[in-house]
Amino acid sequence: MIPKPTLQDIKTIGYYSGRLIVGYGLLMIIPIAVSFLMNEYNEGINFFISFLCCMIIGYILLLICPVPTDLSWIEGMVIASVSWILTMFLGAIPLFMSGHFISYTDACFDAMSGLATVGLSLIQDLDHISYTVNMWRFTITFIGGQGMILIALTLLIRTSGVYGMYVGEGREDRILPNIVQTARIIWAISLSYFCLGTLVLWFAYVNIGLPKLEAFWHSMWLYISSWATCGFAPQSMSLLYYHSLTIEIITAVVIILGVMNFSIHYALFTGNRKEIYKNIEIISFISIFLIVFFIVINGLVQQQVYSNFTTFFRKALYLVISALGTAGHSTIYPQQFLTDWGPLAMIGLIIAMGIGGNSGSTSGAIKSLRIGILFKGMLQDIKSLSLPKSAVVKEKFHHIKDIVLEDKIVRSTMFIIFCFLFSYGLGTFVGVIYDYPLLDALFDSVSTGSGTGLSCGIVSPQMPFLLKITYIFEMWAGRLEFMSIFALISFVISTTQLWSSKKRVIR
Amino acid sequence: MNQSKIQNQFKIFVFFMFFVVIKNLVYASPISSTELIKKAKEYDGKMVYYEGEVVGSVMKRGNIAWLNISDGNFAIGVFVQISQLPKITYHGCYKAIGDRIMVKGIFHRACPNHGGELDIHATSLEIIKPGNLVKHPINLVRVRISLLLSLIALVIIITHFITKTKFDKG
Repeated sequence: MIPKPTLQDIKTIGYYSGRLIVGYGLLMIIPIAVSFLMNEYNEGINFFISFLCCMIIGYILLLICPVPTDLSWIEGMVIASVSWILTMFLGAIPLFMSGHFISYTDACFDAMSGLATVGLSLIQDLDHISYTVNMWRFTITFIGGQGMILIALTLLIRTSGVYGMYVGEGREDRILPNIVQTARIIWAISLSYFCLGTLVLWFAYVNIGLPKLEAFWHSMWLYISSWATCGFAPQSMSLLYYHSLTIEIITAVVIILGVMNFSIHYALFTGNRKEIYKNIEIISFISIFLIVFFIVINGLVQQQVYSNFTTFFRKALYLVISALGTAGHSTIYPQQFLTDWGPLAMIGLIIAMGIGGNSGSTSGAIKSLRIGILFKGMLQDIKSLSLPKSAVVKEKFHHIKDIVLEDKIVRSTMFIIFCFLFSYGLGTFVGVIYDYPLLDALFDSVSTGSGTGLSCGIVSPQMPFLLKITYIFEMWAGRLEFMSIFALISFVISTTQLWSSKKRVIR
Repeated sequence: MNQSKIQNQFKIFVFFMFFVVIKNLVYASPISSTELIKKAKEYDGKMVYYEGEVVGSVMKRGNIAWLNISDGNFAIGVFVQISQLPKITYHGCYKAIGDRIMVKGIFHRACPNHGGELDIHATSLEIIKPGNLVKHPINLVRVRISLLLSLIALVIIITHFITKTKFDKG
């Protein structure tokens, strides 16, 4: 039975959503500062207007909903889902005002793509974009990768019941018993890597011939998009712009770091190196990588495009890492997936994108942990069949700690996998309705729903409106891993039912 | 008289055709980036002409350089010897339209020397139209909108803090 929401519940959701929007608006100070630094005053005005819109809407919500109570589980989830939609609309305002989008819908697409760390883009003329707008694209990427709720827990929100909000953003792991302390640990890890990674990339960029100032911006932005496993790049050619093996290697390493569960980073930092080879997620990830790599290699051998082993290996390895890590950085043009890679290699990439990286990381998709649990569950069932009925079969797996595989874990895993498959299927179906070939539609839909960001050419400003909306939904739902979407739907249904029953009583 | 007139006209015609052929040999029609990518197999290893704007920085690495040329659809990487690089004044960015360049070179579908990239190894580069700076004048309408919104935001924020203070005291 769906619990009936009260006016206080709605006010609590309004209050915390208001605070999140105010915080989101404050982030716009970053691109405003860049606009002054780089003499892009027109863009600065656009962001100032957007900042004011956030303040107005945020404070109106705080005025209407002044008295928060402690958060319930479902309220936390609803706040997570609602705030992502509101911040998409608000984050799209300065993008649309930049003049690089043919419609506000396209700007919303990019805003959600950045927040959900997908990286697909409908932007026009990216090579002539301002530093200010680029800074905003990568700021929302960083925020999305870390998690808006995570930032809020670190800085803005102090109340009991926040775990619902944390989980509502697709996270479950508690590195430390306290959620706020967990949030701070994640920040500490991220910022340490950010400083080191940006510095390494800066040296690499200067070495390959970029001017020092431009190298600074590119190093920061490309670090952010690699760490957040988002496919955004500062130029239209993605990684191809740099023509550099060094840049590919560094970004591949950063992607792998970004794909790793934060709990594993913490375990390594605290000296627990055994976690690398005991953790079911790492074992599952490596196994999936090898299988996918084998499929892709065979596909490329069939096509006979690359003339020597080095080029063959380099292209395959980078794109498999990019796909499996749901990063979306590409070293080929979108159309080359169809003309040069062929169906078998594309299927390999689709599997990689669909499964994705580790849980509790910046990566998207089903996650290798769930595949590992599914495999363990199947193993348990097979063992049960082969043993006497009275035998009790209990499988265990190691994920930071030893966990007994219970039916409810397998059931919840299957449920999330089903939701992702539904999302991939929905985008494919809509694509096929618009006459896109099945494999192309499947490739782009899986890339969108998994948060990867590779495209074989469907994603463009010319794609149909309904397909854009479908992809926006896929990005939103996939990033939040569906539970908060269901919480929002049940909340809306029960609120509607409540109002309908009150109207009947009045009549 | 008529015969010499015809001979003269024939010579003019031949000279004209010779000029047209030479012109087309030297300035062949450039191929678009879309066609190069779509029909990469067909153009692989062939001499092509490609025209577009220099976008981003020219990356000099020792005695070679990379530049990226966009024709408005896609940008393609062009590999060139430093000695063949013309003086490029403007690079395409927010504040400038880049110099427009005609590239003549060998097209590679998957260059074996450059990690399998789709690129052009230029044999000649010619600036056919210089770029220019782009002005972005301040939009006064938006300045007025921001002033109005600032006022509204100030009123709402002050009201919120007054209400909050009263509530906290109460």
